[in-house]
Amino acid sequence: MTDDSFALGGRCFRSRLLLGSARYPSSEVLLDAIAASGTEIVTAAIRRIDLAGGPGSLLELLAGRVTLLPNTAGCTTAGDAVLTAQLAREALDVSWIKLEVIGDSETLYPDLEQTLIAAAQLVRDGFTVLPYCNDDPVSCRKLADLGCAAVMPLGSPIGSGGGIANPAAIERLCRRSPVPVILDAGIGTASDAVLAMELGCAAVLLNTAVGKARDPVAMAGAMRDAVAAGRAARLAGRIAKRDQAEASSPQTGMIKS
Amino acid sequence: MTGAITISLNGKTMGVTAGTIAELIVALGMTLDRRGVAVAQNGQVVRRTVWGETPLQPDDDIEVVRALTGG
Repeated sequence: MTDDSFALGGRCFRSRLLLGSARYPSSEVLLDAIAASGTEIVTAAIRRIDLAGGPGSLLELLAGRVTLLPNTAGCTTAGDAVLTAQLAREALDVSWIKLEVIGDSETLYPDLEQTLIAAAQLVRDGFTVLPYCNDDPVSCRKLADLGCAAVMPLGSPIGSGGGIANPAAIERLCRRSPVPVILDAGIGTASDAVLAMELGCAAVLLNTAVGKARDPVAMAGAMRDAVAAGRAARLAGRIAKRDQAEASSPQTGMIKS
Repeated sequence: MTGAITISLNGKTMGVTAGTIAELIVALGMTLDRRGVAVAQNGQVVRRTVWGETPLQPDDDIEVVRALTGG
């Protein structure tokens, strides 16, 4: 088997599945799901310390198991996103950031203008910037031109489980993007993750599909296999689609009664 | 309360007697070597290495954050 590792932020990873750590029924299920998924990168949020005391530290829970990728989830301005990224770097001692600047509370669509402003500032500040973005090639090219290490278009709205609403757009992005495309948001089940990888995505980031599955640990295993299968099929090269049938068996030598 | 100043801590206005960021962290019940925590003072990150020598000023806007589960 040839090496098909995935490079991101100056490091190489064997797994092409990035897993969110939210919305699991318990810490134990989260840890078991992480193990079953085979992921090496788990996302985390940065939040104010609960002055009244709160749950244990995610860092302590996951120490040594995976690399944490902090996000700027919930930020609606470039300024808040930049400060959150800087706090994340200080707290977790990692210089990469899943940049998320939300522009609409109903759809959780990205605010591209603010995302671009924050991305430029964070790249200048030495961050490996991984922006959540739209699936249009103009947005993604601008982010790549700014120096983002990857682009992370949504397949469908965050947490919706809607799958990949526009596979043609994702496929086109993957064909043209100078940086890796990581499908972020919208994955509902294993076939969505397979499709993302078959379309040419370098990796898939998902959370709710596993965390809120009836059996999160089993779904985590399914996602591990889905990402691997989709990647293998992409590398193998699918056949072209045809409108008409083409017989598989030889067309000569049949018996005649 | 002698020497108390009023600051905004994680969005809440409160009086504190801590004179430095380090003293504030200890007053919040954390050890200074605790990983996974970060502090901003008036919108600027204060590196852990200088918590002890960074004074709190009246009306400071202090944020103390940590990593939590997220997607």
